[in-house]
Amino acid sequence: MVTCFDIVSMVVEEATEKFASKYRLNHTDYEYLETYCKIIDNLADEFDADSFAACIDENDMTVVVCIECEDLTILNADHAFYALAENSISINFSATHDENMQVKFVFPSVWQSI
Amino acid sequence: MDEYDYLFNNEFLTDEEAEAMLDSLLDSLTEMIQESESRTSLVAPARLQQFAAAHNILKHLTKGTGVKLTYEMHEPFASVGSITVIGKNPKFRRPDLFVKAARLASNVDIYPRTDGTIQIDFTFHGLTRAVE
Repeated sequence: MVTCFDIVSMVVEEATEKFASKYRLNHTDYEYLETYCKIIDNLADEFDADSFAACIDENDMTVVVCIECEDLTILNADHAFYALAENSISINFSATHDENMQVKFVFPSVWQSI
Repeated sequence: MDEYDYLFNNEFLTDEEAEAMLDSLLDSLTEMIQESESRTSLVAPARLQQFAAAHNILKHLTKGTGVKLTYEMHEPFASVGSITVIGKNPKFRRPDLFVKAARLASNVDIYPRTDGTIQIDFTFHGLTRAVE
């Protein structure tokens, strides 16, 4: 089974090579990102998510992770969705063409200047 | 023998009996709600304050983003209120504030609408308290 971090680590690895002349990976931040991905895996299970997607915004080097699901219902203030959202830079909801919705989390950059 | 055994059938229901049983459940729920609605109740000030705070935070967060923010109090029941955000692409640049507002709600539902927009409902229970 493909996990969120399988996809995210792939795009981070590619970007790390691309940024290598000016930036290097901050391993502490990368570990945080791995934790966020584990939470996303749990959310994907809970909300029966159809797919994950990830990319790096090369303008600000933030990490964008998207999940697609039918809907979200959050019944308590301790829900993991809130912990995840609090650690993101922005969250964004949009409808997809197949009547699902996409939740887009933007996480802080995991690179630092050399 | 369990004390609640009498509630459980030993025989199979017919379709008609199953439907009648569900109708009767609905009737008792309606009675319960009507009874609760007919009681004198007072607004719960602390909960109302939380409702207003969540509304004001969400209004601030959605300013100039093209999404529609509305609220309804005492609907569908006296003790319930809701805040609704509808938009093509609701985006929250201060997720920490979004979460603070959402955590004040009893529950939050986020779903796509048939017109391609997204609706976010923040439901608040306990806006009123029955006077004994």
